[in-house]
Order: sequence, then C-alpha cells, then structure tokens
Amino acid sequence: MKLTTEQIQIIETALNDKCNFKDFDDVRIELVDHIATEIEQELETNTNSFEQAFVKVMTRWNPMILPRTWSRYENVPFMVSKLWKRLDWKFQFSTIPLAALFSYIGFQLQEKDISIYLYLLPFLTVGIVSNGYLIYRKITNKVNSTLSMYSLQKIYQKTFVMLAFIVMNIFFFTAGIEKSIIPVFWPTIYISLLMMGKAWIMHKHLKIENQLLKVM
Amino acid sequence: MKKQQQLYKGSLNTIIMKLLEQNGKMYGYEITQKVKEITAGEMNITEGALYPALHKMEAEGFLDVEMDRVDGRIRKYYKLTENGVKETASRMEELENFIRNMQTIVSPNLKPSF
Repeated sequence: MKLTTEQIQIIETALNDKCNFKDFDDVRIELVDHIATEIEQELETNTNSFEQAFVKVMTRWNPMILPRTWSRYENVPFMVSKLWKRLDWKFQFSTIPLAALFSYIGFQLQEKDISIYLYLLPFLTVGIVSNGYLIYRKITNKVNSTLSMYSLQKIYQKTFVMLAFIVMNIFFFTAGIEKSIIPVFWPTIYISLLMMGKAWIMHKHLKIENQLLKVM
Repeated sequence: MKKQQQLYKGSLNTIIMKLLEQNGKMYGYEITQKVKEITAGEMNITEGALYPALHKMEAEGFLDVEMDRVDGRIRKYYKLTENGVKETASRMEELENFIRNMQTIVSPNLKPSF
C-alpha cells in the first residue's frame, strides 16, 4: 500500500522538527524515502494503521538520527555528525601538521634572506579566493546538502578570524618588523589551507545541489 | 549471529560497492533488502551502518548520486564513479585474498573456488 502525500509529509515534518534535518536536504529526502518504504512494508505485512507503523519504524530509527547532546555537533542529526567528524580528521586536524610544515619551510627561507611575506602571499591569495567563493555559495545556495553545510558552518566567524590575521600581517609588514610575524604566521597559513579545503569540498559536490534543485 | 555481524562489518564498503557494480544504481533500502535476499537473511545491514558508509564513500568521490521522483517522494540512487569502479576492483582483490588466506588457515585441504 503506497503512502499518501499527507502521510509522507508527516514523516518529513518529524525529521525536521525532532531531528533537525531541515538544513540537510539530501539526507532528509533519502530518509523520508527509506522510512516511507519501511512503513509501506509494515502496512502490507502486519496490517497496522499508518500511525502504529509510523511509531514503530521511527522508534527503531531514533538512535541513528536524533542529535546527541554531548556531541561536538550538538544540534546536528547523529548520522550527519558522524560524517562531519570523519571530515574533521581529514580536513581540519590534518591541516594542523601541514600548516606547521609550511611554516617551518617559511622560516628556513627567511634565514636565507627570502621575504616571509612573499612566501605568505600565495597562501593568502588562495585563502581569500576560497573564502570569497564560500561566502558567495552561502548567499546564493537555494538548497543545502550535508557537505555544503559542512563547508559553510561558521563561515562568517572564520572569515572574521582570517581577516584579523591578514590585518595583523599587513601591520607587521608596513611596520617593517618581520620577526614579529612569527606568532601569526602559522595561524594565517592554517586558516588559508582550511578555507581551501572547505571550498574544494563545496565545489566538488555542487552536483548534489544541482540534482536537488531539479527534483525539489 | 552477532559475532558474525562483527566479521562482516570490516567488509561493508566492499559489499556495497560490489552490489553497485553488479546492479548499476541502487537506493539505500534496496541495498539492505538485496543483501538480506542474497544471504538468505544471514546478513543484515543496519541503516545505522549503511548510510554513514554511503555518505563517506560519496564524500570520498567513490559514489555518485542521482535523484528521481518515485511514488510521490524523491529517491536518491547511488552509483559508482570511475574512481569507485577502480576502488571496487582493488577492494575485491583484497577481500578475495583475505578469504583465501582464511580458508587456508581454517581448512587447509579445501581449495577455494576462485
């Protein structure tokens, strides 16, 4: 027995209201379909009412989708936060040693009388361009996917931090105190690389958003 | 049965990729049912394991998605990307080696069929 549009709407509302799926269009539509199919199966095999089947199926799903309060991503559905934590290891935490390595190379070049600002310029350029792209997507995005939301989370705060480091670098540069750049050198490279990574995820998965736009 | 599920866990991604290679494109519910059907109910992929695995492989670029409207709702299908096809071949080779080695250890006189 196929579910009616109203019954499908009930499933979608439950996912949005109880599990915070409203910002994750791709996963939400996937779960609506899966849960609806399970309820249809339930109605066919156990001749329950829609309400009984809905409660039964949702009770089974709850541990996999309800947000966990103790999680780093508190209001994010558990299934999504699981993926985000994996991505953190790949993009956020692995950037720490990478930025440290680039900083070390920069200091080595400085000792050979190569300007540290010249070395920093490509990182800043990439960081600024990536940041601009992410803000553009944030403003223009009509649908949200799990990966775009990951790329765009706290984007304005991160932009502020990045701008603060750029201002500090410009200050040290104009003041001609190259040695003072050391404390801001690593964070500037780190945030630039981070922006680059997030812009890359965003761009690579634009296809999902285009598909969502077509069907929603 | 629970212990057996633990053994399957490490091969979950390979199983999903192999099914997608054989069937072209599949959606989440279909994958769980197909596994149940092939293994005559012996293996049960839970949704809590299936979707994180699918989303991870999608993020890694091994899977592509396609969406269609079916029965008044949107269905998200997964299919292998070019990288996904290569990865499936490599993972299947690893899995076959693993099975061969396990079989040699468990029953040394029995020759594996592949």
